[in-house]
Amino acid sequence: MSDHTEAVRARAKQLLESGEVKRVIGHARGTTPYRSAPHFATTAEQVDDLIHDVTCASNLAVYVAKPTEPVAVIAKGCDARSLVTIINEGQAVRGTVRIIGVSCEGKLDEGRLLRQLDFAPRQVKSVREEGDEVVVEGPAGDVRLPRDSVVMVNCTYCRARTPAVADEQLGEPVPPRDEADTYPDLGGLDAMTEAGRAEFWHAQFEKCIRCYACRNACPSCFCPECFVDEYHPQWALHGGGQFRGNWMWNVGRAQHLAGRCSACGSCQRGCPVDIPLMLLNRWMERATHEAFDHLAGMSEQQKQLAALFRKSEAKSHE
Amino acid sequence: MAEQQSVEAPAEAPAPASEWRPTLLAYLCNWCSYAGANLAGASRMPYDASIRVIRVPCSGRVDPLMIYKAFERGADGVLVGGCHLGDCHYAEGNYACQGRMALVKAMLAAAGIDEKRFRLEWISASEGSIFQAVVNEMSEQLRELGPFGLE
Repeated sequence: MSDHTEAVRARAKQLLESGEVKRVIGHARGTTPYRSAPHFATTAEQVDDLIHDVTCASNLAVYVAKPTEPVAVIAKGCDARSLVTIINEGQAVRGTVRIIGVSCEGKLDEGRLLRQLDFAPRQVKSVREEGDEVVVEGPAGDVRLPRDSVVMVNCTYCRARTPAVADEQLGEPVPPRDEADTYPDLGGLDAMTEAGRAEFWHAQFEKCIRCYACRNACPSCFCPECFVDEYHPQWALHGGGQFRGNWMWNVGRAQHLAGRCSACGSCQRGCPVDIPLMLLNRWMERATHEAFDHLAGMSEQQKQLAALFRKSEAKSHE
Repeated sequence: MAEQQSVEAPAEAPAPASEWRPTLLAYLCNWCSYAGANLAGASRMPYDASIRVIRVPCSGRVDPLMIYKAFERGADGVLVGGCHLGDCHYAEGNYACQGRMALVKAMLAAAGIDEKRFRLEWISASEGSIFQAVVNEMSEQLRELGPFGLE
């Protein structure tokens, strides 16, 4: 069970009333019962719109950009990992960000859910969690689906179901998934030949329309000017539909997220053409994990990945 | 420099137009590898003419994007040359390079680019013969692999 709505509201109200924080960043119900939208509560009335249930998938760290007033963030494990990463990179002062950790057993993937329903999405009346199942209330009563079949794939190998770093914790802690260190999602890529991988990514990157939704959804993509927007040098040819430019963008993006990605899956969820971006991110996570014993945002004392390249830290990486 | 001929070897007949020659892009650090290449040239050591050298102040200057861009622009292979560990003119630029290039290798593997198309080598200013050997060996491997194209 990861419906923490009541606990979140109560705590948010306390924090706002005591003046400890000026704003609570959380989720509210979205445009449909299976969606949530980011919500910024600054008053007691606005607190009543806060929710935290199985639909609260988006990474809220993306809304924490150099806050001048103290804010609280309702953070799942992945949100907390992202917060730690961007604080470590100077995007926020630790003292201005209060991390309200919530335990999480996976958040809905809209596509995976809707594909399993034999009625129209608009006929969904409500979505809730019961035990290890997600219950969808439809026109002909409840439909029960195993949780792992409807949550985001990255949730099924999550290593941060309870935030590793938080100021306080709502809900009972949940241990990491057993699959966290085995990278089961990379099995498909691992099994391919090199030519097969090149072909696979060719088919994927060819679809890219370069809308940069992946960049916008990502808390770690905070550069004022992204490499892809530079004209001199022009790293990636502009405009969608050009495979070479798309390849540069997607490869460069994953490179820049190496050692910084919290595996929240926001980029992939935002992608309108369903490019499996998490495969590249996770591939790099495995590489940095193995070579540098580095996992983004799992500890506040952790150095940034690039700092581990220094002489004093170096092992041989041949 | 790249077109040096050996004094011993007679000038070869120009290659027929059908014979494909790979493009090997090399980022060489100013203090060691570039000087090593210079030594190879000054010593009249013949090495494969497929290499195109870009001199960089330090191997730590080489941004991973510069590797990807080279492949995107049609290079068949990329070589990064720096000072031996401990010999960096800027103390630890080559350590930074080593870490970054470990990530590049992982990324190229994910993208399905043969590992032989990318090499990181430490070549000192006195190692003209090692420069020669590396360039010749890598060019030969690229010939075997054939053209790389992202189209």
